[in-house]
This record gives sequence, structure tokens and C-alpha cells, in this order.
Amino acid sequence: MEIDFVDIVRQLFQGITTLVDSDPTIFWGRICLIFLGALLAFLGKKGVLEPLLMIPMGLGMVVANTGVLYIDSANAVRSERITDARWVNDNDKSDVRFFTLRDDADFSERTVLPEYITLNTKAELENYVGAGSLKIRNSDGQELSGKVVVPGDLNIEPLVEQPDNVVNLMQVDWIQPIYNYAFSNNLIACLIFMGIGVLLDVGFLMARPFQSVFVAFCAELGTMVTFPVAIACGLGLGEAASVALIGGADGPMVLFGSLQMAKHLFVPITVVAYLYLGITYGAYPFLVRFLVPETLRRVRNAPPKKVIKVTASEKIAFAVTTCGALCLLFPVGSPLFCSLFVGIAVREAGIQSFVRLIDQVFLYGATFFLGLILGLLCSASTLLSEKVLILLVLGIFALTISAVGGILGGYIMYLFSGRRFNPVCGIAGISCVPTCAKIAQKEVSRVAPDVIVLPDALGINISGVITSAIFTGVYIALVPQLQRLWELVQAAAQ
Amino acid sequence: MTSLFLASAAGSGTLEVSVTFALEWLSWIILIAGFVACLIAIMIKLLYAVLSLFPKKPESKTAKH
Repeated sequence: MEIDFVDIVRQLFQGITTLVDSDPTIFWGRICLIFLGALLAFLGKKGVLEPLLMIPMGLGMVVANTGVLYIDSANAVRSERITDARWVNDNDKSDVRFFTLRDDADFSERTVLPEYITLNTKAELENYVGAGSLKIRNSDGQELSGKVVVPGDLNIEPLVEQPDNVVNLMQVDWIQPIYNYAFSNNLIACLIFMGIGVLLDVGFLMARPFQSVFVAFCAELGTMVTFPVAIACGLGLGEAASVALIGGADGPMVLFGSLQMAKHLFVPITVVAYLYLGITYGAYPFLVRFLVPETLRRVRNAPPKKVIKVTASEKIAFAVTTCGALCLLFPVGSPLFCSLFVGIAVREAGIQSFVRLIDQVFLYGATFFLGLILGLLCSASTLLSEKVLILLVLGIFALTISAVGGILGGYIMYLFSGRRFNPVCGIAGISCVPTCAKIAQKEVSRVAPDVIVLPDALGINISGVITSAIFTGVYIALVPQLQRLWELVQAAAQ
Repeated sequence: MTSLFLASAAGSGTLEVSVTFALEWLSWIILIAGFVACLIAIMIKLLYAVLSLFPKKPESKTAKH
């Protein structure tokens, strides 16, 4: 019996086999993403990027792009992600033929393979992939039987078309149940929001409500401006709204919004959002120094006319009324609002066992799985879309414009308060709590160590979370309505 | 507004129509979000007004559970 060593090696090291067999685009995409994943984990360890998120995310990215193997197509979950398939001869395993599910595929480029499987329609092709086996006739007229395999991994399948297959996946793909029952339905975003709620002291916002809300609203400039810019870049309404939400600089919000409005693009949008969030926090201090001259960074904020001591009962009353009002206005965003305000209420009620549960278990657990799942979703086939480059540009655009908007809001407050408001506080309108408030205080302390702006900055920062939630609610509620109108307009334009 | 768009859409390029459409609705998005944000700030002030009607008792920050 002749032993085919090449075939044994191909079967043994399937990660390498799938890499070698793949398109040049996918090949280089996988290589780049493996290195990017390693870099993220390294930068997380060094503290340059957020370690809680970047270490699991980086590792997941490495696994998603190395652990690719051929799966029997009959057992694989049908999804939009599966674009390629291969036929393997039952008798001669080295006889591999290629076909693709892509409509625009150019079969003539596949010169490496001796023969192609010619299929007339995409539906026909999908039937074969679904059946898992295929009989073909070679040039001598001989009938050959073989099985159909698709490249995939055993981690996760984000775009499941057949819910029945989830049962199979639960037995095979290790993190799929967490993805299906905690990620794709937004539970993880809500758990993180609950954790953020537990960390927030709304007393800072309640002491200066108008000032905080105004500056935080200005810091949503990126969320506003990016929407038409994204449309001009050729994105659809839901896609444009989702990428615009990056301007709010709130990871769970972007995840929630993109899952609702642009599910097919939620992986790249969320990955771009989280990557940029890590990078921009490092860049914001330089932006502040660039936009605010040193003399203005020394400005002391006016003390409040009356010192308001906000009690826990008042904070709970605020949480209940605001949550109720927001849910009444935007029921579609009620999971997010509920999560945030229940966290605030639990904190203010002083229920320490719940606070520990949400803070220590929910928040850290959800952050860990968010990072890991996002990393595992970063396969080359998902990220190598022509829209990702646009998303990369729009993401950084949204965050930069939001920061500029925040500082602009700070300048407006500076003028309206009789030059007794430090414009640096505007950067705290970007809703990462409490990082942006700390950036504001740090930048002020660099030039004037005795000036304290942290209480004002924290109020603005907390208000930033709420205004981001408002914008998410508005976009999610409005986009489906606009979609219908949009179709009418486009039909008229043609 | 729909009829306005339909009228302007006829004879214009698709991208031009799309951006005009987005810009027109953006003002509404900003208006709605701004209104809700103002509402929350006003609500906080109203909350103080309502709560001041009741006598304030000193309370412990954290309850034991």
C-alpha cells in the first residue's frame, strides 16, 4: 500500500493546510491578524492598551486565525461567513478541487488546481455544501465520489442561519453557547453597563446638571457628524449610525447599537471601536495640550454658589426617574438604560453583596468574555471586507471630532461662566468613566498642581455616559423608520 | 418631508440624495437628543424641588446587608 505522506501532513497540520490553500488576500490577512493579536496582548501587558480587554482579545485573535481547519460541510453551520468550499476525493485524498460560494469569483485564477467543479447557480452550490458530499465526473467520464469541506474553526460562528445547528455547536464549538446566549443578544453589553452603573457616583452630575449635560452633549459631536460622513462614504443607514456611535466612545453602546442596526458588520465595528478606545486615551492628552493653551489650562473652576450635598436617597430617586423617562421615550434602548440605572440604584442603596456581585463577577466576567469573543471573531474572512478600511477611518474621525467637540463645549462654558471654567474639562465629555475625567485633572495638574477640576470633570464624564445612551436610543429608534423612507427616496432617485 | 425628498431626489445623483437625506435627518436627531438631554437636566432640578418638600433626615451612606 502506498502511503501519501503529503496527504498525512496536510491532514495533520490543518491550520497550515488551510493557510496555504487560501486566497492570497485571506492568507496575508490571517498572517497580519495573528501578529496584530500578539501585538495587542503585548501592549496590554505593557499597559499601553487596556489589559483587561486586550489580553483576552489579542489571544482570541491569534486563535481565530491559526486554528482554522476543514470541517465537513454537512456538519458546518451555514452562514454568510462560509464563502469557500473544497471537494476531496474519497479514494485519493490528494485529489482536491476548489469551488466557491462567491458570486463574483473568478475561477480562471485557480490555475493550481487541475480541474474545477462547474456549477451553474449559487443555489446548486449551496445544496452541495449542505449535503456534504458530491459525485463528479472527470474528463475521462469516470464518476468520482468525494466529500465537501469548508474552512472554519471550532470556536464561534457569528452569523448562524440555522438555529437547529446551535445544538450541534454547543457540543463542538467551545465558546459558541456563551456567544449565542450572552453576546449576540447583547447580554454582555448590558452586564458591562450594569458594572459601569455600580462605579458611577451620580452626585457629581446632580450637583451641576446643566453644565455637565451641556458639555457632554458637545462631546457627542463625533456621533453627530460621522453619520452623514459615513453615508457619503457609501455606508447604509444602519451601518452609518453604528459607526457614528463610536464617537460616543462607549464600547458596550457601540456593541449594542451595531448588533441592533448592522449585525453583519458588528464584528469590525466593535473591534475598531475597542481598538481605538485604547489608542485614543493615550492620544487625548496631546490633543488637549494642542487645543488648550497653557494659560487656560491653569483656570480655576468657579466654586458652586451653594454647596449641594447629594444624599443616597436623592441619587436613587434620580436613577428611578431618569431610567423611567428614558425607557418611556426609547423602549428599544430599555435593556441598556435598565442595566445602567439598576447598577446606580444598587450602589446607592448600599447593598454590598449585590455591589460585589456586579463589580467583581459580572463586570470582570463580561469584560473577559467580551475581549476573548471579540478576538475569536477576528478571523481574516470576517475582517477582510472592503468596508473595514472605511470603518477604520471613520472610527478615528468620530473619536477625534468628539474630543474636539468636548473641548469646544469647554470653551463655550468658559465664556458663559465669566472665564471661570477650565476648558480642559470638556475632554471629560467623552464617556469613558473615569479615564477621561482623570485625563482632564492630570493635564490641569501638569501646569497648575493646586487646581482641582475633578468633581466637575466627573459630573461631565457621567453625563457623557447618559448622553451616549440617549444618542444610541435615538439612532436605534429612528434608523428603522428612516430605512423605509430611504428606500422611497432611492427609488425616486433612480 | 417625504414629498420634499421625493421631489429633490428626482434628477439628482444617488450619493447626493443620500447625503442630503442624512443631513436633513441629522438635525432632527440632534434636536431629539438635545431635547432629551435638557429634559434630564430639568428633571434633576425638579427632583430637588420635590424632595425639598419632605424633611431631610441624616442617612448612612451604606446599609449593611
